[in-house]
Amino acid sequence: MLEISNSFLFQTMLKSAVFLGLSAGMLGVFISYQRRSIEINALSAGSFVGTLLLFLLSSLGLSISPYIFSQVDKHIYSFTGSILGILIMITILNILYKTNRLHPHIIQSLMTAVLLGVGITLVTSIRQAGGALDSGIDVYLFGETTSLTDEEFYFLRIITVTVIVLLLLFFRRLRVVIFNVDIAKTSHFHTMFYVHLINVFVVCLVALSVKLMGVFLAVSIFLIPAVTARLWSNRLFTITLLSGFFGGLGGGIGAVIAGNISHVSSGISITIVLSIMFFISLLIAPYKGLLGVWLRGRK
Amino acid sequence: MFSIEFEIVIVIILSAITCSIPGAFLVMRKNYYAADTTNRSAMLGIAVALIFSSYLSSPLVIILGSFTAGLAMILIKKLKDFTSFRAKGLSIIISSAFLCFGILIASNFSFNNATNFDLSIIYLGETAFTYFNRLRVFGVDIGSYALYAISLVLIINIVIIMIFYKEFKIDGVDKSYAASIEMKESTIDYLLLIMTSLSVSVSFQTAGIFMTSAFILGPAATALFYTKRLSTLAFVSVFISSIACLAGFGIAWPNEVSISGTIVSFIGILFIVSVLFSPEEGLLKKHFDNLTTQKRLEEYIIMDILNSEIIDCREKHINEELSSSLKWKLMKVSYIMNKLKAENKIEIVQDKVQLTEEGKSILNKFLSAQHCFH
Repeated sequence: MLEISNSFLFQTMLKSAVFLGLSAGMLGVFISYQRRSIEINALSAGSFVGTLLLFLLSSLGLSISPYIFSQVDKHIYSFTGSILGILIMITILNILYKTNRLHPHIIQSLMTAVLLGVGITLVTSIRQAGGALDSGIDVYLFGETTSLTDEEFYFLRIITVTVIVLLLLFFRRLRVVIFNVDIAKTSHFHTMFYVHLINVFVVCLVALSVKLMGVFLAVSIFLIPAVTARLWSNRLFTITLLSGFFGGLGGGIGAVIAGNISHVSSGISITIVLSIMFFISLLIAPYKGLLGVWLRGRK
Repeated sequence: MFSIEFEIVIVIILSAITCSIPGAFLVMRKNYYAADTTNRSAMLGIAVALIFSSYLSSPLVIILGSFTAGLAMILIKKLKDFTSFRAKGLSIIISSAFLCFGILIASNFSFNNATNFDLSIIYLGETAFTYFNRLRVFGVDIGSYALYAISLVLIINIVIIMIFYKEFKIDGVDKSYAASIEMKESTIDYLLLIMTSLSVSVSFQTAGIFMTSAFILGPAATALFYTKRLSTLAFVSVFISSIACLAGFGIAWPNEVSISGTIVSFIGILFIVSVLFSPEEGLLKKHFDNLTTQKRLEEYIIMDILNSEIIDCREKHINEELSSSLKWKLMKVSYIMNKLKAENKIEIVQDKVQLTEEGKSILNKFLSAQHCFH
């Protein structure tokens, strides 16, 4: 039933899912130790609104080249909009954390839902103005692997190589930064550089993963491989490598499933594969697994 | 019976009130992940119910939806004890797994496969469609089905809170005290769970499963800026949610955009406005407070120097003396001195600048309030 075909579209889809899983899985370990993994929900909602706003601008006729209003132009606009939306969202969230006595989690889940509401209002108003979004809202909500253009696919490859190289290069310093920023500040190196390095990777990868995985499930490819890897080992270096492996494997299997079955969008299949991997390793992992705990408790 | 707009507005307001009542207690107990988890994992139950029944307004949807929502929360609590992970991270994994399996079932195996039923009603909500599911008793039309279902859940919520109000209050404020008087924490947890999952699975038609968390958390988080009492917190959050519903419906209905999206963005606008302009904890109020306290502190410093007479207090070059010793600008010092003179806090006796009796008493009051000086 499931087969890997040789067509160009299918190969691109498979490669993009594997690359995204690899890089997002490796980065997700660092984010989950910084306790920021829920923030990605809010960031992806921000990128949704940013995409729609820039899409509105482009349909008003503010084109980059005035003579050719092509499909490529629209894609550039929407991708720029998503990155701008994430950047604005990070600033708003940071202001809200500092000035409120509310817990950060409440701000994140509230802003996610609110920005989603703004986005839905924009979508329905765009639909009324003219059939700009014929492809349906499901593409935005749950993702489509074929939605990556050529430029974005090149961007994804560059980002993947950069993430792998830089995370392994700065591994020892990043380890200090993610566990305790205050201790890192007392050591003699530039702390904020490493914090912003992680932030830049987050911005780029969230903007790509919103297109592949959808608004709601964008967080799952960051979080689930990292948590799964944390069940298997206690060393950070092993966890990072394992998490990249799990993310790439889950992304690949999910993309194959989504390509072969018609009713399933890619975000849903990738998340299902990743969560099945999580539950299996929750059972059989050697030290922290339920089976091992139960056996050791019986003796 | 009623006109169509009136009935829809009543359904929206009732569902918002139903969601905001457990939300106030959730915010009080700092149990934030419940709002996100319940409404995402309710999708599985709704999808399973759609296999057996043909339409969204059936009691099976509410029962199965609230059952899976509760199941997810209990699963998270059990897993949290076994592993070392935090509840919020586990809640995201489990709720997204439930959500994905629900969507898989709903899009492939359920009833809608034959009739091309639009699933985005479940995700995003379409309040206007609740009008078409009528409830009939002996062939007489007595109103829409959602009206009766929502008001039933609202009554259940109110009854639970009326009975257990004292326990909710004690458990929300001080958990260690609640444990010391041998109150069971788990009963309060399960009661809140029942309330939240019931109100989520009832009101997903109006707001959709993704935006219900704004209905739950938003009014309570906004109300926290205005009050600190628990009973008024519930009333203020109900008031805020009904305002947002009226305003959102008034804008969305004539322009034919999504009603639930407009209401949720109005809740967000109210939250941002109260972050900026709330009278007690707003950003603007804090900013101006900082400015005025700084200026007052400068006045007290100069008054303290004049009182202790460390420097030469002649009237001729008092300003230059102060500015050179404090390293402040001359303009600033003379401005503060003029202000003090106008307020009758200092006077000039025989070419010497002194504090008046009034100024001395003010300064002593300030110093006794600052414990660090003693």
